[in-house]
Order: sequence, then structure tokens, then C-alpha cells
Amino acid sequence: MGATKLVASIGAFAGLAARAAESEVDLRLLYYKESGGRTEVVNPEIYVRQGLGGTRGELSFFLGYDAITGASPSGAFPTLDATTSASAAGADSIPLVAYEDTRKAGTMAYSRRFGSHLPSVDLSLSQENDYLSRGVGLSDAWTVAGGRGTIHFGLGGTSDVITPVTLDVRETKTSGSAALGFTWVAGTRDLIDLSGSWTRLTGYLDDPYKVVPAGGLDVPEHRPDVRTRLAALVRHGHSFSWRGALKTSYRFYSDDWNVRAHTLELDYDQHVGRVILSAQARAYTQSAASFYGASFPVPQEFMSADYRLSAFHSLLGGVGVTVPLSRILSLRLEGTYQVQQGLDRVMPLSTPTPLSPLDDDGGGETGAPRSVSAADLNTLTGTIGLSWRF
Amino acid sequence: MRREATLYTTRFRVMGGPASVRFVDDRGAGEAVAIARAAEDEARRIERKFSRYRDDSVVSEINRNAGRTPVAVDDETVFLLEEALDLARLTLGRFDPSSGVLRRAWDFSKARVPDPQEVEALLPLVDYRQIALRHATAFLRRTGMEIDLGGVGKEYAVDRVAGLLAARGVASAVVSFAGDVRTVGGRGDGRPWAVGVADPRAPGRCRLTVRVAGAAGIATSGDYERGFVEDGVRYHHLLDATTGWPARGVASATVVAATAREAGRFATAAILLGPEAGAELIERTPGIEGVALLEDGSLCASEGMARLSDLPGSLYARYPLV
Repeated sequence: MGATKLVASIGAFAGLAARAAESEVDLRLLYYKESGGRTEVVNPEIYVRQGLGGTRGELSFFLGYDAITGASPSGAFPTLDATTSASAAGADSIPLVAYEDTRKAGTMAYSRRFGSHLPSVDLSLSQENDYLSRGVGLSDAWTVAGGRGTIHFGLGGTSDVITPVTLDVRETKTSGSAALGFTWVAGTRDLIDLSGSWTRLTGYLDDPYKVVPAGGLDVPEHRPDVRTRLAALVRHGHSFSWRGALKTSYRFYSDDWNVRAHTLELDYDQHVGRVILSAQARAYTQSAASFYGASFPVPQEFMSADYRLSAFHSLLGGVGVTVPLSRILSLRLEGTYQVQQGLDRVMPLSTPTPLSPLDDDGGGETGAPRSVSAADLNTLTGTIGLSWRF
Repeated sequence: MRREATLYTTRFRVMGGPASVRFVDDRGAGEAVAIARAAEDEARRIERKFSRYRDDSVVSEINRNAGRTPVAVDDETVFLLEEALDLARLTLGRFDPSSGVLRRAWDFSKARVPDPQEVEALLPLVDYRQIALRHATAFLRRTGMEIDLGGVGKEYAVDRVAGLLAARGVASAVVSFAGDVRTVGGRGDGRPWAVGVADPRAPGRCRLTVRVAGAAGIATSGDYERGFVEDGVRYHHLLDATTGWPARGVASATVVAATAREAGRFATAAILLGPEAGAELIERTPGIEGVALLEDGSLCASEGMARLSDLPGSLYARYPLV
């Protein structure tokens, strides 16, 4: 089996792509839903890649639109100051604030082969109600050892502007990143990739909508204004004689906020005639940032109660099917379900009053309060995609 | 020394529900903690004083002496009792501070529709005209009668806490006790206060957002707080005191007024009077705007409501919908 064919059967790793077709158009519609009435996203995307003929390289475009509705814990996107209702429920659950947002994102990339090098440049832009991000990236995939190995490396940067809807401020954030990796075709059935990345974020890294309970009051959170992130990734792909392929990957992540994370992922593809059936499983665990706390007895310089900085773990399972509709057109359907559990658990804010004096029927809540975590979350996704390759 | 203006939030449980007080202050955390404590203390004082569950409350004393003797009461108690009686008159007796005895027939936690005779038998004890307020005394004329001030006490507490914040120099605050809201001053950033109106048929979701520029009271009354559905009929805790059975037609009513008490009064009236009479009352009362979500899912708003909300025609429609 040739290297290109092997890559095609296992799936491309970064920088090493089997691109037989000159043009490619992908349309994708993603639906994302979190449990407990939290975030719901509808996300159409389009990706177009066009070879410019001969040695003139190729251009690609990506456009995405997210329509986000739902609710987020602890005051994220607080377009509401209060809610009026007839219901007294809610104090023993994580406080949620409803919000609605849209995100528009676009990327344009150009790459062109120079001998054994495939350098590329990309520009990206993403816009939300209160967030603007602009990015640029440069990378190269350098083929070595007669096509069996690829060294891929790149540099990137973003410049973001944050204008919180609740505050009359304009904050900025920048990031710089570098990545280096090596992909090797081992024998006739295995593909191995080792890669690492370094990212440094500076500027306004707070979430302007998050608050922290400190000294009996909720005060705005505050995070350090520098964050350095390191990630290392090992991937292995194996192609079986029965037209199946197994991809295994492990990712280690660490940053100077003390968050450490491990991700283990397995993907299996099986060709049945011209149809590809896929199954996916992923396990994730992370530790809490050094300044994370569900509450603080007295205010600290740095503190956050954002569940994304807390310790939690999750398990994800998914299935997919790719059906060729014609020689150039294929349909992809995919679904995943993820169960996430927070490890920093707290008791509800205050114990319900046994007899609630001025309430219409006395409340009458009984039983011990159960511990809760804002990170407890189940997530469902569904994707439908159409691909043309010609 | 003036420091940076900071938004503080304190949360506690009072009167059987969650309470939150959010305020902006620039006098430092020490002062903010003192203000937050004072706000909670005031809410608890009102809860203690008017609780029908506490033997030492004034309400319990009035109930114990029903049919026997008038009880001396202070100005604050007279004021709250007058509020309750006014609301009873406004709703033609459908709201009644003495309707608590109907709970003997209606147990919403057991989801049981009571026998009509059972309800009928309790009605003689439900009559606000038998509550006598004279010379700083309160007296229930019939033995077995009971009052409770749950229908007006929570909104009163919200207004009192808002008044306390203003008196302590807070220029910008929002007080919310289990869905009854009062704003203090403007929001401070030129934007209006945004108050979500809960969707009665989708708990945790908002159906629309009400925006008010300065101090206002916003209250909601709804059929979804306690109740159950049997044979497709929703039985809920907003009982029409003249019949003893749940009011029909309006799933939830939200009213914007100058104070939480006013808003609460008219929200209750809008539910108990039904869609047409309720809408007519709100439309003809100056200074009151309201929106009702009817049992059939439709929405009915007073003329001025569009100006205050993100309903079509609103001044504030340019702000994101929630």
C-alpha cells in the first residue's frame, strides 16, 4: 500500500493529506445541545477548496455561522438583570442566565508546493456581539525520506477585541503560538504522528460575565493576564486487512494556571461496500486552575468560579456513517453524546427554610440538599454533511 | 475614599424562595458587606413579623383570636392588611387574604382534585369583609377564619429593601425575591434594566424581556408555580376565592408599575379576573403596563407594554432578544 493510499484509508493527519481531487466543497450543519436548558447551537458551515491548476497552488475558504441560544452558569452573557416569574424554584440549582448570540467566522488559506515543501498561509476572522478576533498563520509541511515522513511546523497569532455588553470598556487580548510535529508512515499499515504546540495568551483573559462568591458577596472574577499553554499529542493509525482503520490518540495539556488535562481518543472506520461506518470514543479529565474556587472566604487577587477552570471529567461516544450518493458526492451523518461530571462539588447556596413564612403554601421542601457542580453537563451533537470532490 | 464602582450580588433564601440583591457601589467591600447584611436583615424582619407559621407573629395572633377579640396592631401591620383588603376589593373578592383555609381541600403536592363539597364547605370561612380593621386593631369576625399576607408581603419586602438601599446611598440596584423585582435608580451605563419574563410553559426560559430605564417594580403571577395536570386540565394554586377553584384563562401575568407592590397587585388581579377583565383593568389604570400569556399560548399586552419590552414595536427592540 502506498503512503498516499494509506493516509487516505486512515484519514489525514496534520499536513499530510491525500488530495487527489482538484476541488472540494463541504457543507455541514451541526446541532449542539447541552442538558438542563443550557446552550443550544445551530452551526452551518461551508468549506471550499479549489486547486488553481498546475503549480499555482490552491486556495481554500471556510465560513461558519453559529446561532447560540440558551443559558450559561453564573452570569455568562447577562443580558438580563433579573427574571420575573411566579416560581420560587431554582435556588438549589446552578444559577443560569439566558442569552442569545451569533458568531460569524471565516478563514482563507493559500498553499503551494515548492519541491518537498508545502507552505501555507491563512487569515481568519471571527465576530460575536462582544468579541472580534483576527488571526494569521504560517505553516509548512516538509516531506522527507521519499514521502514516508513529514515534518510539519507553523507559527500563528491572534489579536482580539472584547467589548462586554455589560461594561463600558474595550479590552484587548493577543496570542502567539508555535507548533512542531512529525508524521511517519511505518510499514504498510501504520501511521504515527508526534506533535507539540506552545501558545502564549496576553491581555484581558477574564470572562466579563462571570462572578465569584467571595466574603458572602458575588464580585467580578479576575484572572492573570498571561497564560502559557503547552500541548503534546501522539497519534497512531492502523489500517486492517478487512478494510477497517483504527486511530488512537493521546493528548497531554498543561498551562501555567495549573490546569492539566489528558485526552484519550479512539476512532474506528469500517468500509462496508462503498459505505463507511464509524465509531468514536473519548475520555477526558482535567484538574482545576490554581485560582479556581466555588467560593472564597475573602476576595483574592486572582479568583474565578468558572466551571471551565474547575476539575471535571467527561466521556464521549459517537457513531457516524458516510454514504456515497454519486461518484463525486457523499453524505455524512454523525451523532455524539457526552457525559461530563464536575469534581468540585458544592452544596446548594443555602438550606431551604423548613417552613417558609410568607410563601403561599409554606414551601415544604424536605430532604437533604444534594451536591451540585456547574460542570455537570450532558451534551448531544448531530451533524449532517455533504461533500463534493471533483 | 471613592474606589472603583463594583457590582455586588448577595443571595439568600427568604419567604420560601431565592432572593438576590444586586447593587453598584464605590465605597469598598466593607461598606458593600454592611449594605448586603442590612438588606437581608430587613427581609428577615418582615418574614418573621408576618409569618403565619411562627406562633409569635402578629398574623398568628390575629388568627388565634378569630371570633374572639380584636388584636392591637402597629402601623406597618395596618398598612399591609389594608393592602390585602384593597386587592380583595380590586378583584371583587377573587383574591382574599382569608383564603388560606382552602389549602385544607387543595393539596397540590398530592396532585388530587378535591371533592366539590369539600371546597364548598370551606367557603364560609373565606370572606375578606369579615376582617375588621378599627382603631389600630385587627379582628376576624368568624371563628376558624385565618388570614395570611403571602399575597402582598413579598412585594412589600422587595420595596422595603429597595428603599433601604436608596437610603444608604446606593444609586443603582435591582432587588429580586422569587421573581418579584424592584429596580433602584438607573442601571448606570445608559442602558435600561433588562428583566426577563419567565415562560410559564418552559421553566427556566424567558418569553420576552421587559426594559425599564429607572426605578420600577415588576412582578409576575402565574399558574405554574404549584399545580398539576389531570385529564388535560391544569389545577394550580391561584384559587378564585369566590369559588374555591383555580382561576382560568391566564397562564401568567407580568406587570410593570412604580413599585413592586403595585406590580404584584395588578399581576394577581390580571390572573384572577381572567383575560378580558384583567386586560381592561390594566389598560385603564394609569402608570401600569402589563403582559399576559394566556393558557392557549397567545400573548396579550397593554398598549404601552411594547415601549417597555422587546415585543414588536418596542423602542428597545434593537437590544438582543432573550
